[in-house]
Amino acid sequence: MNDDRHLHDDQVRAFLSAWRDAPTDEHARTRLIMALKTIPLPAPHVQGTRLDARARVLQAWLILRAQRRVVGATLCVAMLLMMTLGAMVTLSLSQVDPNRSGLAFVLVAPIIAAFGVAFLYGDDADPALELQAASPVSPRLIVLARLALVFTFDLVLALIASIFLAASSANITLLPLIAAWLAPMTCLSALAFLMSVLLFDPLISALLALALWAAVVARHIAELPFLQRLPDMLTPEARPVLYLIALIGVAFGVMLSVREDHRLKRR
Amino acid sequence: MIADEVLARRLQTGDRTVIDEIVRRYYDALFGYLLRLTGGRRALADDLLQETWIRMMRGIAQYQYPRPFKSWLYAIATNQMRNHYASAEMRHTDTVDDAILELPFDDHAIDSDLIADEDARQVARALAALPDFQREVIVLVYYSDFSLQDAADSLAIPLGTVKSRLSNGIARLRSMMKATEL
Repeated sequence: MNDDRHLHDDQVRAFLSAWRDAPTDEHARTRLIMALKTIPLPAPHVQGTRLDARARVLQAWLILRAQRRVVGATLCVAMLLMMTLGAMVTLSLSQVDPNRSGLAFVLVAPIIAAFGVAFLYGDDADPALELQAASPVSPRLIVLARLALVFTFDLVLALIASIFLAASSANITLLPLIAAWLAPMTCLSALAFLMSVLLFDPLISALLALALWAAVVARHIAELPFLQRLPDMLTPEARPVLYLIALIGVAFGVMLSVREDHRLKRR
Repeated sequence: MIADEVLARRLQTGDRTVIDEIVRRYYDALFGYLLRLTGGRRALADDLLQETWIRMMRGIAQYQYPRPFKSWLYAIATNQMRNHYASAEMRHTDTVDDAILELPFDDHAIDSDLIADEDARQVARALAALPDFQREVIVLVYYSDFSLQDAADSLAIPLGTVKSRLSNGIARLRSMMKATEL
């Protein structure tokens, strides 16, 4: 005997059947169909399926293109000027002190990149953030796209400047110079990004990154006893640690930014 | 016949030609469902029906193939009805229970063809006297031909809860039927 039989009571069914189905308006249905056909369809979720390689490349390109506005012209010009200035100062100093040739650029490049990254997330940096939060693209992808754009821009600038320096001064060798600034630049950019997500204030994040970098630089070049107790983060031995810190910082920052975007969506 | 789920999948991928067929299959049934949930208020059921279809279009990306499309579509309709009655205005003005119990026999809000006879009117009153959560289950199972499992999926509640709500709802209906006979 079916246990659910008592749930399908014939008497109740007969009683309820007295309220028959309703006739509907044929014209209203036709109008509805026409209206439905004008509604834009949202992008499909692809749960359980994978986009093919071409679609993935296209999606990545579209996301990056949509995020170009974050790397605004002002920010780009500012970073370009600072990087050029840093390269010029480095070139001048390399003539004065051949033992420390390239050091100025190693000190300047990371903080320029960190400034750029600090301004990619937050209310002031992105007034359309709430609108963005309603987009069908994952917030994690958007944040990573922005980070990739700004960091790549700084990376290209720094590489061009390094090539220029190596070509202009006999005291500067290209690969050691790149190796010297790449790890600190990656680490400081990641920390600036994390701070901008944590504090949601680009200016304070940039200033904190500057303060942190000033401490690292002071430790490296100054002879102050209390700073000598801190580890020197500009040595080749410290580079793996810097990359590890960068990785953790980006992962933590992306996680926090996704939570923040979900909070915005629930508002 | 092409399965509902396949049509929904095609709509997800941008094929608008399936809209006619999906609407043809469910327009009348959804209207009947909403009409009974709203206590026979045709204008309100019509509004909720339009809104349900629009929500379906806008949310089609959230449909998870191959889960039952019918359950998903009715879940949208149920939510539309709940949202309507949960709005602050409705809380302070009327509820479906009050509306149906207080309606005079010649009220134009009730479709005259549907509830013109006394038997149908009694059914409307009996359904309206049930708590919302029991009325939803009874209308889904008895009028919309949902299995208990499909009703559970559509209402996003456990199967056991559907059974208990249905059982309690039926018991209340039976007692109301007896009272009417007396």
